[in-house]
Amino acid sequence: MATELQFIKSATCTSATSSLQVTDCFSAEYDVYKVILQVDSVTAEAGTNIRLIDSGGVDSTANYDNASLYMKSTTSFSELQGTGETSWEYAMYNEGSVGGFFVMYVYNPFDSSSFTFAQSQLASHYIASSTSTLIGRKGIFVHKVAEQITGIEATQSSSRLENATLVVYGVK
Amino acid sequence: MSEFGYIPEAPEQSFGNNKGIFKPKDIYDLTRADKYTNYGQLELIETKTGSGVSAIDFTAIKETEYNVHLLTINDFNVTTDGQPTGIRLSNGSFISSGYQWANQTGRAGGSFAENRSTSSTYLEIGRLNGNTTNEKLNGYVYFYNLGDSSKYSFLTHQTTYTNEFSAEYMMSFGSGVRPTADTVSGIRLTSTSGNITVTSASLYGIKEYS
Repeated sequence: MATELQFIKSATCTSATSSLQVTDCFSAEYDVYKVILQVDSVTAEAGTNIRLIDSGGVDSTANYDNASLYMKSTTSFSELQGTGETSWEYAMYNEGSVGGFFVMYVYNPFDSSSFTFAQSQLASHYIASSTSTLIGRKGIFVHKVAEQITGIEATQSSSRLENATLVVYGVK
Repeated sequence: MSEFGYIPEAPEQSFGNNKGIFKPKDIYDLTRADKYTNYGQLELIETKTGSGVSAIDFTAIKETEYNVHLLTINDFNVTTDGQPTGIRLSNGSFISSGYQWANQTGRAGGSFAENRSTSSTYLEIGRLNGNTTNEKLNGYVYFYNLGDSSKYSFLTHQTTYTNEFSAEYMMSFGSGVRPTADTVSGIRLTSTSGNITVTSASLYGIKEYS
């Protein structure tokens, strides 16, 4: 069979929430997954983090490392990195109701003998000193526990995620 | 017997609403008729080529069917040395102002650089392109929300190429936005000066997923 992108599962919110979860989306069927977080609107400027879901639920312990480059259209780029964090922080960032997209490829989440690796890229928007500003990010991520990951969560510290969809595809 | 030959013969088939037992040929026929449910696949909209042209335009991008588009670029070459690779969007006519982008570039024989703009005439996806035989760019661009009149149009890209400095190897990745909420119905692949040659450029839609 030719390479194909196959829809698995999605979750959508239509009113302000702090969490959007897609559960039981990772399986032995695929090794590589494509995850898209489409944020159409937030109630106020907000960053969104990513966490993984295992047999015990959402893993919010210090198992997450990342290294990323933040790219804004208005200012110098900045590096963002962290080890032993409780999520992949600021994977997404939004303001207003003009949209934004975050795309992440996730590798080996269901392999109990491997860490879960990921890479992502985003294109989004926020208001900086009354100026409409593009924000992009290219990042690499690892969840440093060799275990079966079954799902993924987009989460915020406050409930500002208003209209959004988190979608998981399998890459054949 | 129904049009597609499946069992039972009566039910109407449509995307997201298939009923019955299907033979391989039924699935083939229904897929070609866009009536077989298979979420998430990449669907080819159009492939174009160009030799010594000012631009390659996609003007039937099916923006009402897809909210994510993928453009693949194979062997993009400029006739004027040092020119960028750019994208322009159309909302009825192609727009030459008001774009923002932020890209990271890296040269195998030179330095890495931050490149950005808040008032560009195009969305940059490559720079310092060369005009000799082996100075060509390859890569991909994802577009988001083109058909949504209430949202900005975003893109992300990653390109790899040999640039104007004796085919020095180079890469670019980054994001861009047209910060105007309207419906985009066309995509133009171009440069800022001179003509371009492209072996192939293919535009895909990612089938609806919600």
